[in-house]
Amino acid sequence: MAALKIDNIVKTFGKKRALDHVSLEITGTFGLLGPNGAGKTTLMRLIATLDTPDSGEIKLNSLSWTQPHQVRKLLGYLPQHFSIYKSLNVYEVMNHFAVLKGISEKDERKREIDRILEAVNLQDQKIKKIRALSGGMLRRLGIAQAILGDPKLVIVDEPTAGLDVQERVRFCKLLRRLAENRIIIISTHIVEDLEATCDHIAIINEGKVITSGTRRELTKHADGHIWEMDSPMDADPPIPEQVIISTVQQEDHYRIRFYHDMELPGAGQVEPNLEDAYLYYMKEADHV
Amino acid sequence: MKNRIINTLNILWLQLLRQPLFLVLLLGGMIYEGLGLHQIVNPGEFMPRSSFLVQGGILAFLFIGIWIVRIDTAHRLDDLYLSIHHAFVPRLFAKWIFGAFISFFVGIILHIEYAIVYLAEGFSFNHLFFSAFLYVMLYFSFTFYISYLLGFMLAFLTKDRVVYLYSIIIWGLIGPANFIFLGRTLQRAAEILNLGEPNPTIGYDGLYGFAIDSVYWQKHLLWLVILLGIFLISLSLKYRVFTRRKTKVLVISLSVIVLVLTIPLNLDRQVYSAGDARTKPREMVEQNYYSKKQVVPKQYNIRATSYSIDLRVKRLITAQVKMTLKNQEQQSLRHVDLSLYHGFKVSKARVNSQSASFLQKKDHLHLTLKNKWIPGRNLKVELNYQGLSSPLFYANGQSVYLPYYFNWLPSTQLSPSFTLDNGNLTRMNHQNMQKVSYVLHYRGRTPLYTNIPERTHNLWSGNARGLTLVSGEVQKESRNGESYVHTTNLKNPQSNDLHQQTEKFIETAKQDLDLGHRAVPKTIFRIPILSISDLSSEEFAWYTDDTLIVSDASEYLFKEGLDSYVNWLVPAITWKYDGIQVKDPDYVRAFDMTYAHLYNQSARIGIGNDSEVLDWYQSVKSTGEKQEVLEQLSHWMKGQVAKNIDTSVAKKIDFCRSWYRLMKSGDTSWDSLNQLLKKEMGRS
Repeated sequence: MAALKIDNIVKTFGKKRALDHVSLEITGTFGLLGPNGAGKTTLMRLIATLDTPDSGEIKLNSLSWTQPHQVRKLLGYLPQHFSIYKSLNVYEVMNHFAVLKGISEKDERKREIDRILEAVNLQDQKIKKIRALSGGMLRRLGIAQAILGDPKLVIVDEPTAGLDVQERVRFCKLLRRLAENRIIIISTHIVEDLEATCDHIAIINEGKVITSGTRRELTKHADGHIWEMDSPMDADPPIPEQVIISTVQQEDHYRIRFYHDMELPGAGQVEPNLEDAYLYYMKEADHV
Repeated sequence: MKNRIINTLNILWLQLLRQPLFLVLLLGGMIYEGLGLHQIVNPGEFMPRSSFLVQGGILAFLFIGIWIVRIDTAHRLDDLYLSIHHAFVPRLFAKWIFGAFISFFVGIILHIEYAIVYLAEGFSFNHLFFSAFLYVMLYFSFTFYISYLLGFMLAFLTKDRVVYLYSIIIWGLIGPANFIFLGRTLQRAAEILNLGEPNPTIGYDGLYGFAIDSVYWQKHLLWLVILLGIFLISLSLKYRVFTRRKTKVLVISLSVIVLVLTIPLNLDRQVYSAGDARTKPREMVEQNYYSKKQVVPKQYNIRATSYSIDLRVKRLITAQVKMTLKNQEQQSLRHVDLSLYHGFKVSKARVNSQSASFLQKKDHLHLTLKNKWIPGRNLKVELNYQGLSSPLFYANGQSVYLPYYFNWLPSTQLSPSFTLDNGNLTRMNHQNMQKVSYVLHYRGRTPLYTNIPERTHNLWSGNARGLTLVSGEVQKESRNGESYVHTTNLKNPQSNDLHQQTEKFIETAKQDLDLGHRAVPKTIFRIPILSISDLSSEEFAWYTDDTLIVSDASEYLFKEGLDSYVNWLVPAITWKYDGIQVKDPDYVRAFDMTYAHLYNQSARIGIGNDSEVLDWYQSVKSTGEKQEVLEQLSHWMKGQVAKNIDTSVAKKIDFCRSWYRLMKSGDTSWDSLNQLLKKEMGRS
């Protein structure tokens, strides 16, 4: 499968450098993880041809991003805050996007829309007005319009923002299903989303790529640094606040998960997950 | 591209139709129009008075323009459309087309309502409805479209809510009521910015028709091109949808188009301009000009025997006139004096096929002859001139009113075109006293109605005492060999009434006043011939052997207002026709009042409405003989005289006959009239 190559991208807004020599090679389902303001959305906008870099290059095979019109033929984009005309129904909206994406033949358009609505489980909502859709349905409609026209590169910005847990899980499964034969780039600050969907992940902070790799490669980096210990409910935690990853109440005590470079008394080492790894990377980046 | 635009149009239309506010606005506009149609009984009058509907529509379309951008920006869809190949720009263009479509749609709806109401009320379907359609397209649809685009551009350039404030400011600036917001000091700016009816405070002119001159279309078009330019440039800068080279070409091309469109707007032209909203209302222009001293040269006894006219009436009037003049003086002349309205600038003069030097000053044209002009001989004079007609006599692509009494042709009657009588503008009569041969080749608004027959296409010829050209929002009715030309906004043209009443009056007056040959002319024009500053009744009707021009001042003229009609006709068929010159206009006015009052009394017209007439004698400022005459006339007319004096109508009509004889003899002094009055009253 082709890879999207991002090579040494720099983007500055005024005095703020939003992206600082970012280089990535993206294949399959790719997650961009980072805190708010890290530069994820800027990078997504560059990939979506909505902006141009100050320097650097983006390429997919021989196709360069200096030819945005050509690139757009391959793109599907779901922006962070997707909403659409509330007085229209689902089919009218899909039909509009289908026409805009150049599916001019009416029957073909109908078939394609039906197929995609089926895929995103919106077939029953076809004639429902947009204003009557739930948040999850609206996101599914968003991804439906993004994959209309069978784009080779799909950009999904913060796909699960505002969704409840059930809808989030369902949406992530959907993304996973759609990933066949195309590159999907998902930008998020919610680690679980990527855990369920992405083969490769890059962590980005303050405009720089801290690391990138498979989920396993990333978690491996935190191996031996993630611990858990029990703490009584009526006492202060025995470890500093800033290294705590999570605190879970269990009967008469708390189970505290934290990262630390050395073993502490009463603490047991655990296998790191992606969230642990992410926080560990961020801690490291802060120290640097 | 085509599919994308059509589908976007469909999507926008669906959204608009599902907006309850749009339907409420449309329905509100139709109800408001319906109320207006119910109150304004004339289809011509309705349009200029519909400015409030236009003003309201402008605001609505400004908001629709904002809404059409906001439906995307509110959902932050711009980025999404930008990321789709060839989606963003076609969608924007679709929005431009959509604005044109809904503006046109609303215009059509309003025009259909207008047409249905007036046709149902009994108005005949004629050219006026087509003109009204153009009016609706220009001042409703086109103006709404520009408003829509202004709203669109505001929202396109500013995402802030402040666009609503800006749009309200713009609404105050571009509507037909903008002169109210901008006030007197910015009246010129108000005139330039106004995209609605240019004369919103004045009634409809039935001859000129609606103010749908090409200049107003050009003005709207200029707005459109400027907005398109701003849009394309901002599109290019904001979204980089064009290359730099394309942007440069775009800027240069649009600048050239704007320049090309601006040039004609600054050219001299005649447009119908009247009322408070105008900086130069037509009723004031001549008033100001003729309040200054005019050139009145010595009147020689020369007369024109033929005119050959090549006339082009468009933005300007362009004429080449070849005339034959006859010297009826007892002496040779070294120069020729003619009168010609000062708006027509002579560029070339030839006398007997040789170029001649000339001096044009105000309404006077002085030609110097190289050779003596011997008595009884003819002189061939050829003049080329071009310019603007008087604002009170139309000559442009929209309307033509060049009557025989106006010196639009070089005239041997040397009086200026107008004079001021006690501050009131009075048209001076430039008719010929004998029949003259005319050949006219005309290019301009058609159909053209004249008092001489058309021989071939665009060529008229015949003999008359003057040449009258009329074209505009009028139509012709032919009956019994008579041509009756009237405005198209009359429900009932009343041609029968006009004929009957005119004939009855002329037959009676002819005998009463011993007038000689008078008859109802073959060509009758019933058209608006005045500006609102004209009050004198002698201005309302003009008569020659072949032409009667009557103002269309009142729909009910031949019923309730018949006494007024008689007042108009008396001067037309008497002293104006006979070319009697007087120093004091009150002299002829006294004659008009007296005879009209007597005729109305004998014909039992307007009984009980005559107090104004009878009070007139005492309302005139007078001293000496004049005062004495007017007082005696007043008493006699009211019957307030000694018992031995005959106060019968017949006796008074006898006096009028003698009075008119006196006038025709050239004696128009109050002194002689006083003697005549005493003699006539004493004789009883």
